[in-house]
Amino acid sequence: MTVSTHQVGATCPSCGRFVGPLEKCPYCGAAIKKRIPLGYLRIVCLILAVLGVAILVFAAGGAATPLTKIGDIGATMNYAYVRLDGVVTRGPLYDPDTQTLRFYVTDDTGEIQAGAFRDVTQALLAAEKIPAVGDKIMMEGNLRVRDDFTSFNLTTADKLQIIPPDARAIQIADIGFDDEYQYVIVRGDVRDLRQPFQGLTLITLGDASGEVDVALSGDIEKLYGARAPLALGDSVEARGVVTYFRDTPQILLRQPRDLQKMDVDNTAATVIRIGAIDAARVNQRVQVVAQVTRVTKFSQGVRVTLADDSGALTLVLWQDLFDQIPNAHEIQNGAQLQVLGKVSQYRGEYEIVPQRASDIKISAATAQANVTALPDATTIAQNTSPLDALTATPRPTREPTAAPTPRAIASLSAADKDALVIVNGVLTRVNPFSKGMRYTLDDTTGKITVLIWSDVLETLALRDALQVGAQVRVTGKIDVFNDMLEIIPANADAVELLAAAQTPQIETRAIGSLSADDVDQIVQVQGALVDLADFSKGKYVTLQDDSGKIQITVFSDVLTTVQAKLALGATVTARGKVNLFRGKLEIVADTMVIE
Amino acid sequence: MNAEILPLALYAIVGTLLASLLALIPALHVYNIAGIFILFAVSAQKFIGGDELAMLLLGMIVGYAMLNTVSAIFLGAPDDSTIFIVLPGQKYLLMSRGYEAAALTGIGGLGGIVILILLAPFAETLFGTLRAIVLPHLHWILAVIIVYMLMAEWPKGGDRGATGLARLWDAWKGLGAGILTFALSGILGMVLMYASPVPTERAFQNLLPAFVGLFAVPWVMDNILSGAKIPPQHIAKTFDAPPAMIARGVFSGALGGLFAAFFPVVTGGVGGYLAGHATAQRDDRVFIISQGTSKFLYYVGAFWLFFLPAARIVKGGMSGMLATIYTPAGYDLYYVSVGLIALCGVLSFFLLLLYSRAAVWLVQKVNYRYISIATMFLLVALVYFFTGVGGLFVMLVAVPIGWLPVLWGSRRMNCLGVLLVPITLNLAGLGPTVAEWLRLI
Repeated sequence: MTVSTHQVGATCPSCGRFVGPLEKCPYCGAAIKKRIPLGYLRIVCLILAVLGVAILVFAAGGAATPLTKIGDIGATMNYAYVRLDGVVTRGPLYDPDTQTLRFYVTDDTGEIQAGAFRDVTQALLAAEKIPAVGDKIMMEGNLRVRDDFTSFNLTTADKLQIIPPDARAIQIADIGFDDEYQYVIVRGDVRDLRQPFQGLTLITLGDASGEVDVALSGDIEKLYGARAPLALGDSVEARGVVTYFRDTPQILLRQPRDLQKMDVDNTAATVIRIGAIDAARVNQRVQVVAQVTRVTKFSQGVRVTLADDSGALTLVLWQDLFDQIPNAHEIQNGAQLQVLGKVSQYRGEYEIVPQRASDIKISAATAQANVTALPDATTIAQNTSPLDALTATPRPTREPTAAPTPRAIASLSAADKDALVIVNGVLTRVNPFSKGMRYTLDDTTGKITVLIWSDVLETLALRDALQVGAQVRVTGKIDVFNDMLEIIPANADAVELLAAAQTPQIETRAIGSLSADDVDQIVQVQGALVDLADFSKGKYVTLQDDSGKIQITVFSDVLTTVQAKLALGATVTARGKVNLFRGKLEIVADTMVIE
Repeated sequence: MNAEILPLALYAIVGTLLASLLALIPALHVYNIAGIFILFAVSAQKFIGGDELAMLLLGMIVGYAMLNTVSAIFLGAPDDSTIFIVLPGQKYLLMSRGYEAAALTGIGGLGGIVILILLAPFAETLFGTLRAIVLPHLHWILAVIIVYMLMAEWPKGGDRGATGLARLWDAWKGLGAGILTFALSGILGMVLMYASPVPTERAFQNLLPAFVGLFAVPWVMDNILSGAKIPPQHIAKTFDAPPAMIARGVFSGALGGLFAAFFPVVTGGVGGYLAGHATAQRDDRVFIISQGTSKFLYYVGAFWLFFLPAARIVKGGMSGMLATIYTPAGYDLYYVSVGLIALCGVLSFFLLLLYSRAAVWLVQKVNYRYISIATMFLLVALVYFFTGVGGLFVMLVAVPIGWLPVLWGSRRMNCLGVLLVPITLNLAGLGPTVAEWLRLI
């Protein structure tokens, strides 16, 4: 049988006869070249597919997850499954509604936010594997890289290993930068209890060497339950990790039970006699019980001379502290005081400096007659303020003793105390305090503090123009405070504005457009105020616009100008320098305007 | 802002022109080239501004979304979004109407532009609300999609064969191959998610070797082995698609494309497939138009969502890559992006007509096999460039999986198990457990 056309594999290529599936032509003996049946290809493909996946799974399963340094994480590593080793620096932050647990981890190259979600969070809670500050951890998970934020998602609870730190006892004063993230034990009495904002409790502990804040976050209480109730004066032992908040050490509790009451009464400073205070006691906290022999005002507060039968020393009450003492008017000659404070030495004499109002306990005046009155002391008038009721050093007189002379700041010295001078310069710093404002004036030869008391400030029409960068002429009397020179204008006329501060025109940026490239640049952003939080020297203000959120750090000097209008939802324009703080961008505001 | 629009527009147009050239190279995906730009941007951060880079990529993705039709229809090299265009498109091609098929797809793309413009003022509210509603339910919605994908494939044959077993085998071999393809690609996806051989420094292109292996290489190999002949093509001056048909196609495609653009993991192909079933479109012309709309909205819509000022949805490869180095800011840029999508989209449509004519000439003059061989070299080089030896290994494993549907007559969409399986398992909280079963972690 023959066919008209040759079909590969079906007919003989030599004689053209139909050969079907035979491999050799039965007619002419020629070898038949066969086509590969599709079925073979299907089977081979199937086998390769299954085998390939099996080999891949086998090979991948045997490989260790790559260890990655946090600092090496870049945009091209989005979604990478990696292992990170490091130390927990913040957290845990826990949201029971979304079952989210977050914490921050650092290695020697950087810091990253790690998070666990839903099932993983529940598994961590069930296994009590909750990372706390100071823990060394090893974890595996996926990276999530975004333009403005990089995070790490923990895969399973099993892939988190925690090595808690070993705790060591330490004196509060010995806590230093080297102790950051170290697990320490401090013992002391509760000196203060406060909640700067919802979700954070600060407990000030004091021992013989000093004081430190112990911080307990609300998230920790959500995870482990509330802490035991405490009262001022309770003796406690706190185990926690040393962290720094704006250069100030604090101890972060890992669990509420890490703060325990002790049976002993007070482990803090013991009462000593004044005569026992010597150079060895400097920077230590002591308690003294003594009688007031002299009370004098100075520009920053009140000095009280205390005496017992072993000696005398000066009690320094800074103005802000003095204002907080409820019965400050009882501090007068003959009063009996029990004072807890830190010993310092100033011009060869010992001083005791309390840190809070509760450190001073006042008994009624008993022996006023025995006290030698000071020559410059004035009689305490009835119905006067506590401050005015004290024996006061005379205020600078408004009558100049001599014509003021223009001076370069560098030429001024302590010898010019009480001299009436004129200085010109540019304001480089503005710093409010309870009784007025301090400005730093720079005339290129040096700097001096311009101290303007509240009463002068209230009459100063150009007060708002006294901003950083403004050029001013100040006429005033030279004073010396803490070895620093001050010039104190007696009235509003003594301050003249020579040139207003030049405010550079800066385009308002979208918050989301800020990046690490902008660090140290002056930028301006505008947005809605969505969050407010306090810190010791001002407030953190969070602004949000359509493109994102950013935290603005607002120090008190800037804050005073806008504090009255500060409210959630307000539209705020902030200008300042971009800063990178713990891996997050923030702006340190130099000006702020609220619409 | 006005003064800034012109340079941004220029960048977008350059992106479109660049993508139009890339789209002519079969199986070369725009994300691969965008990845190169991202790498440049990361290593030399000042070489281009953020907005400029975003608009360049916007132009590229618009150009690619419109013009990848050319290689899909004339060169038979689909990606995950054009796999459904290939069959009706090639049917048109074999009827000498390839140019018409490309044009119909382009009309669908133009419809997609209209949809985006109409949605632009409401998109933030619409998609922001939708996201809030859908987010907690993603895992089971994806699971339902998977089940639907697998179950909607009907047994083929089954009425011939000497014995009952033979008939059963005849009916189920395609289905079985489809399920196997889905399972194997799913396991591949799990490996890539938990223990990828791709270096961690290149994790942003983790899926590249798998996609090249699953979609691109099998088609290129098929072209090389089959050596198909293409009949002479007719350049039509009219299109057999009345306005009502176009409207139906655009509506159907918009449903699928927007679903794919918004919904995690779902690709344009899957979105179009679901929308096609939902709207019961049977006509080839409606189908081709709807796929044009769907793939345009899938690619461009997903990237467009990235610019939504408040909602900012990071969906799709392009925004996923760009979000690592750039955050768009404000309504001005959003509306500029909408305008440039329209501009580049219209430009791309005319380029589509032009390039389709060029492709008609090309496939007649140049041996299809040579184009495919060159493409194969290019794909391997790209995979190696981005993902190294580990990526080549993954690609080699993916190729036979991607070839299974071709040889066994099942749906290529099953290869999307590489995405659907690990993501769905993870959303359901089961990913790590399955990874532990596989000893990947």
